Amino acid sequence: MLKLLEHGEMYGYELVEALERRSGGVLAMGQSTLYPMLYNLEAKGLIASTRKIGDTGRQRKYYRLTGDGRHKLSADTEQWNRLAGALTTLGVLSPSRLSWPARNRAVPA
Amino acid sequence: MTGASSDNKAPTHLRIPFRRGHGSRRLLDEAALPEPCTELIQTVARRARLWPGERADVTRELIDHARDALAAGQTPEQIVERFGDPSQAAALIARARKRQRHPLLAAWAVAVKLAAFTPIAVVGVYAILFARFHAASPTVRTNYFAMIDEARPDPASLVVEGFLPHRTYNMARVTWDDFVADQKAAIEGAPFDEDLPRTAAEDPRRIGRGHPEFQATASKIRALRPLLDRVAAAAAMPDHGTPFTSEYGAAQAEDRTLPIEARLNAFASTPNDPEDQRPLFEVMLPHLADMRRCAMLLAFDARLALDESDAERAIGRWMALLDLAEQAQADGFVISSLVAIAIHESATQEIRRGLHRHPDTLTEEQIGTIESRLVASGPATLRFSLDAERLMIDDILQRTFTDDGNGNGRITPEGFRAIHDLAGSGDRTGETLRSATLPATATIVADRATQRRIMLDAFDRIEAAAERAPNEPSPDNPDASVFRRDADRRIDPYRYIIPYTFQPAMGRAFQNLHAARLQLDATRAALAAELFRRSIGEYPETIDDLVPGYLGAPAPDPFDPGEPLRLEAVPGGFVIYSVGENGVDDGGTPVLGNTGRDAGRPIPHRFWARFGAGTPYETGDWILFPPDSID
Repeated sequence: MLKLLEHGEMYGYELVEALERRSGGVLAMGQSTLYPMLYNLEAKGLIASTRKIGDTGRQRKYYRLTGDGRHKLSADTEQWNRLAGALTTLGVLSPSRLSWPARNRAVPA
Repeated sequence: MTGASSDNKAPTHLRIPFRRGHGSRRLLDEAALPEPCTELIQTVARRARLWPGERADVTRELIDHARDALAAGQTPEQIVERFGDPSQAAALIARARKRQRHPLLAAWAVAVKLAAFTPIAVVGVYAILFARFHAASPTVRTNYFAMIDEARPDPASLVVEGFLPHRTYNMARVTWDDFVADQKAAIEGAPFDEDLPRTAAEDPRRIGRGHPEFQATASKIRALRPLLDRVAAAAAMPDHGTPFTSEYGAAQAEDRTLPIEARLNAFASTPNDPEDQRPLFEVMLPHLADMRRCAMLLAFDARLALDESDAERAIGRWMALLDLAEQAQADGFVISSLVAIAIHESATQEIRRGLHRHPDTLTEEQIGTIESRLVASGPATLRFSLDAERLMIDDILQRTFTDDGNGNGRITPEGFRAIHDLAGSGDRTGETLRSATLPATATIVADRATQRRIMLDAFDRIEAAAERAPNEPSPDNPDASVFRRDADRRIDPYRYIIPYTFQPAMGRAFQNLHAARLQLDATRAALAAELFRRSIGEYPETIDDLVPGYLGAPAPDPFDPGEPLRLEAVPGGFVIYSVGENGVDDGGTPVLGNTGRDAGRPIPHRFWARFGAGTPYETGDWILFPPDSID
């Protein structure tokens, strides 16, 4: 979720769609779990929300990364890369999976 | 993606979340979503049980979600299906949103909720306690009255001259009533003499030879001799035979307007219905008062007997006094012990008095007979027995606590009522308030087994305290001897309600016991001194002169550890004394030295003034021989 918000703010449905689309359906989640997850991240101070009028002319609640969220994302990414590297070395993971975070970089909507 | 304008810059979790004005219902109405979506959102928002502001925020966001999904081409049914379980969503959202709450707001909300909930909780808890309390009831399993009676001798074995001993005492009571009425009339009609106590009417021992009523009193007592002979025979029985389980028509017996037969019949014991489980603490023990009256008449007659040089009758009366004391002690109640000790003290006092006034009247053989009887009487009589009190506590517990079958249980409404009745009552308002608080108070009261343990432990300590020397340091309060008052907590009288309500008030009982033992020892020493005089021709100089030929061992002075009672020769006789409570040998100066009256018997502080100036209570010696000076 933090990764999706890395390059800009997004609203709830947009996040669901993006997650499903960018993971090729692998990480499609029950939408009932999305909002609790967002509220938890917000409670931890990793993301912040603002309600404002979007380009469709409707009000929505937009989520964006906070400074803490960015640090967390950076730390988690680094940890993931180390883990994935180790798994690749062990032959558990194919090298192509390593670049997933980079290749699927979020594109601002 | 986003527009520039915003209707609210503050992050959602920092807004006042429980303000009103964001009704979820209104938001949903305004959104006009398809019914399945509206129902989904409504379910989630409602089940999350959030503050109004939070609920509106969630509702608004889910409305946006549904609109976006509809705009993306999903059908309402697809939206509902892809959303997942609304109950699970509500639970997760509730948990997450609560984490977002500001700590101060969360604390405030908890406080408000508690404030609203507390009265309900109090009422609820009280209702539970009330129901639990009133559901409890005691079970009376044992008839302790009957148990005590069954353990006593068969009344058929106690008959003396066609009467049970207690019937003889009954007759003595009726006679006594007449005697006292006559005495009162005579004494009140006599010229007032401030040196003669007005209580003499109720205690003939206070009527000395100088009293204007002495001759008249002596005549009345002489007329009672056949009755006193029968009393002496009754006292020699192992039990007084008063059935504890019977009613006792004392009021009718004291009605002097009734014929003598009717008054005596009032004492006829009416056995109670065996099914009638009367509580043991209602036991009356009327025979004790009768025994005391008999003792006073016997004591007076012993004096008359010696005046008439009738040593046999005097000894018979003294023996009857010792027998009465022993019989009273056999009851097993503390009050019986107190009466037994008092009667025994009276017996030894009369023996010393007789020895002092009529030293030559008794033969050496008679002195030996008295000595043998005294040796046996001490251990049998001069002690405190709380055996009946132990049964009484078990009886009280079975009537006040529930019984779980293992000797334990909890306090019951009947129990509180019974305890309150016994402890005295208060005003009606206080009563109502107390009743209302009883279910809560019941939670404080310790269980049945604990009450019993503490009470029986207290009884053990009372019995142990009675055996300690009077000046021996004790871990207990020597007066109460039940609890260490300084360690009590304010809750203890409620928590240990049985021991606090039913602890025996021993008061000066221990001192009475020590005084009676001292007088027994002094009497034996005085008898030995008289034998010494008859053998040597003069009285002993010290108590050591009596050992071992006349006294096995000198009696120890309990107020002066390691030292015997003092015996000192004085012109024409000797003095026996204890150093008394101050533990200092004052050379035989009596406690109330100026008057000499009541010397040898400690007088409670409150009675000092009555006897005029004298050596203060704490500073004198206790003069045991010669006994008091009323002649």
